Amino acid sequence: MRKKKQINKNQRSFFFEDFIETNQRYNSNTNISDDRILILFFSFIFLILSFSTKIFLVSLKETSVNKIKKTEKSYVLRRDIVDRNGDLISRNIQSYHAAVRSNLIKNDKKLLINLKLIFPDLDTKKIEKNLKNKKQFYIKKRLTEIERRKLWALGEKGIIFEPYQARVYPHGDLFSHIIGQIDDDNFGISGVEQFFDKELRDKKKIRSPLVLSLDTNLQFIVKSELKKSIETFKSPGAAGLLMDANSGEVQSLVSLPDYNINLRQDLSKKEFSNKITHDIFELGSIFKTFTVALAIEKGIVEPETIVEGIKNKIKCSVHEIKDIKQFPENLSVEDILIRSSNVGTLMIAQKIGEENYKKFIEKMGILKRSNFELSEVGTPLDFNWEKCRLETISFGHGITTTPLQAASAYAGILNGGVMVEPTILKIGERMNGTRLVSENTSFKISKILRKVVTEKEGTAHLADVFGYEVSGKTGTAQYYEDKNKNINTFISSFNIKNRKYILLVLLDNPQVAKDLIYNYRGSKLKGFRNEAGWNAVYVAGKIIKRIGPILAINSSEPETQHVTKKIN
Amino acid sequence: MFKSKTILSIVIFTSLLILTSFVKNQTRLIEKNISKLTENTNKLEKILHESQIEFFYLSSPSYISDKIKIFSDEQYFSIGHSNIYSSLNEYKQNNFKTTNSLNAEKKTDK
Repeated sequence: MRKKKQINKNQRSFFFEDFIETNQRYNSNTNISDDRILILFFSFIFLILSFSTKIFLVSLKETSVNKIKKTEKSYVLRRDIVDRNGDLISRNIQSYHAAVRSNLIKNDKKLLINLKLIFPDLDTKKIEKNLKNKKQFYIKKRLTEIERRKLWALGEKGIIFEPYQARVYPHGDLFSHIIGQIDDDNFGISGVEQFFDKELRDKKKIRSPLVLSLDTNLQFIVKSELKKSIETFKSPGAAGLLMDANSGEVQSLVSLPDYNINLRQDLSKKEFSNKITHDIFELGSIFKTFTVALAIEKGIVEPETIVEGIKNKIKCSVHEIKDIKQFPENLSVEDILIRSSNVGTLMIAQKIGEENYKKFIEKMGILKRSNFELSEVGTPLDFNWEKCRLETISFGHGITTTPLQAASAYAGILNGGVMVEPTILKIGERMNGTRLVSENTSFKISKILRKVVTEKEGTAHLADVFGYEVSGKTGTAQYYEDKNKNINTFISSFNIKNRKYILLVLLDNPQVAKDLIYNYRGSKLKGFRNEAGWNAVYVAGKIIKRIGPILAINSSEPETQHVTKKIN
Repeated sequence: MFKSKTILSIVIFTSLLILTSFVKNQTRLIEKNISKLTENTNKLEKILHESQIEFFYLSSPSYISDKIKIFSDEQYFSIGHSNIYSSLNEYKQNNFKTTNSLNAEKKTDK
């Protein structure tokens, strides 16, 4: 600028200055050169680029939040199992194994004394040996919370708590035969845990529980009544099944003796098998209902049809078939079922014929393995249709099945005639099975079975609980392997607010309850017999009386009182 | 003119640089907060998870019936079928019928 001014002073006439030349001159004299600006520019660009790259890379990297989310997800390795009301049946929790790193232990003797105080049953010699060999080893697997705290309080660096997933069952032994167990690696090894193993470990569904059709309250009532019955009738075992006749949903399934699933035990003993789904029995007179239902369905007889000439005993091939007491020679079809006459039923079966009976049994599916959602499902014994087979099968001898299959066949006959497969899952309404009998036959059979409970000659009066229209059929049979032992069964049906339920009670070799006083048709009677009508029916009546109100009261009314207090 | 451009560009670069570092810092803080909150949520969830088990254990029918036996002498029994009403209207209707029949009985007695 100074130069420019000097030029102007000396200048007398105007002239054209070369713009480029002047510009170059100016530029050469500026303090900041182009190169410097460029360097500065590029260095900033570089900085910005490097920061943006860093930000980009950071955004791509797994953040700590995501890491937490992942660990949170992996925390639960197995889905919850809940009952139909949402009550928890089983859940995974974090638990610990205790291990020792020998090289970190300073005072072996002190540690051994402390361990012996916490775990008195511990094999100290083995631990001492491991400590000397500087090995890493487990002190105890599956620690309880108290044990873990005690070990932690020792403040020993060498004790490590190794986390693992433990399965907890808050109801202990209530669902033992249904839920089953898992192994140390969280794989199901029995029951529902095994059958639904894949589904229970499905990570996509890990937050939603597996909903079963069971009801904890009903299960408890059925179990407590069966437990009492074991004491009363000196029975080595008992079982019960409660099922919705329309949907096939099993609301209670009890098999005694049972076990606490939280304390894993050796379950190889036979008495721990599931009597409802696994064990197969000759269920005896229970089958008479099938014979009569088929005869009515085929139009061979009506409930009022008189069957004439019923003898007390007849010979069929080498077998002698007889009734337990003398019945009149002429009985109506419904009377045959009410009084449970073997010979009368046999005569009806002869009218039906072998082919028709075979087809009906196949339709009911009582000779195949059931598709029930448990690993412990038994397969009925195979048999040949040899001479006299039809006659013995008609009243339930020479044919085996599981109580579950017998109960579902009853559901099929009594629900309007549609076969339903029993299920352990809560699925709601389901009436799309194959038709077993017509609605008309179903109605007629229901009426006869009601009379088994109400009529004087009926065998199931002790289950006549007011308000529930209980109907059913008793069955007193011998063990398939041991003819000296009895299996007493009662399959009943009762109505609650237009819904039908099937209740099966099975007692294993019950004895006469001499101290028990029955309230039989208004009079007090001491126990003197041990047929199903005097034990299985009695227990079923007790159960219906207690579970009836729970089933009747709508679950949408939580304030409703389920019980009333007795004023003493 | 040129100088002002340079200054302007430097100012822009610097402000962007500061802004970037500021944003980054804030993001880091937010991320820290989120992870803290998630950790807390996880802890609470674990507590809930375990207390639910305790709740279901303590409210299980077998536990309650055992406790009733220990702490109470009162007997409980199932409600009769005739005392079960599915709605308030059903209850009112039933009571109305009973009252009417009782009134009718009184009248006949007189």
